[in-house]
Amino acid sequence: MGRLPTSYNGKRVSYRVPYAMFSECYLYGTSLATAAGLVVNQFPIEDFVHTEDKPFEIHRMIPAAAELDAEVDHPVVIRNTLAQMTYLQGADVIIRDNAKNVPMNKDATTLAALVRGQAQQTWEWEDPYYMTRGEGMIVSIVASPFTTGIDPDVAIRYMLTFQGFLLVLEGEG
Amino acid sequence: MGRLPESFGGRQITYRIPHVITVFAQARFGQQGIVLNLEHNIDKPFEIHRLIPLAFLHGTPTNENASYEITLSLLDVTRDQPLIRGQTPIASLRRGLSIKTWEWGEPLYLERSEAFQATLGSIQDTFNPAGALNDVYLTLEGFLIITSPATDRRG
Repeated sequence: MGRLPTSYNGKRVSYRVPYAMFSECYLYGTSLATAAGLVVNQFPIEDFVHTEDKPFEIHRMIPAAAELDAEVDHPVVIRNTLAQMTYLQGADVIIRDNAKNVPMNKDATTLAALVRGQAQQTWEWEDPYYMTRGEGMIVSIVASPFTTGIDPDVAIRYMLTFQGFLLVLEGEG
Repeated sequence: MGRLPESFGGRQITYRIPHVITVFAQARFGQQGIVLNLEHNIDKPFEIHRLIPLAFLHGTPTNENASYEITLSLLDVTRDQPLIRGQTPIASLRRGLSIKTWEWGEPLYLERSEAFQATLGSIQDTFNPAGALNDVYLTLEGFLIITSPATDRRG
């Protein structure tokens, strides 16, 4: 147990390979939300399914956000005008480990409340969490009705990264 | 195991020499597939403790927006093992605005002639002039390790 366990499932951990699993999805501002239907969205399920043959030891979750102009044809214009914490406060997430059928938060939680602060925007898992091949997370995202300051005519691109290590176990390295 | 292992390959680590490998590239908005090689070519193992990815609009290092637009994937070529699953924005790999590093709580090792391959991409940005340049720096930071019987004691 602890930050860097010496064994996994009875096998000694030979070494660790740093690894990051990333996905992104969009939420539209309130004036576009009805047309776009994206007040609630979900990160693509396949992005958070672990596909490597080595166990994934997850140490932290890193949310980030960027503002897009949804009024252009191809909404990829980034113009971060507000602090990251303001964007993170604009969305609630529900995280569920689909393989173990376990919720990781009791109810929708604003991203700003999951991280340590503006300076360190991570949710640290001091005791790491494991995913084996084929296991995955389902992350739903909901626009927060309490946010002020975000232009209702923009889309926000929410990014989520699970960061940790792939484990190389004794006899398999 | 841990942050500063006592041995490498069964041999005691006598001391460490701080060491970095840095590569630099210029990526235009919308450009894809810029490949960079981070090859270790010293005869001592390189114990890597962190990756420091930086991206900013050329000449404006305080502008953070490019770090949300420049994407990175990283492959350990020697072991054919991806370290980043897909193209991931640089901002999503770092801890935040103050700590712009990806800390590896347990270091990874490169031996001589082993290498990482980084692939850069970029999202189109129509707020900036077409073809505007971004400066991208990737730094691997850690130590060269000296294993026994070598020693730093002289005389």
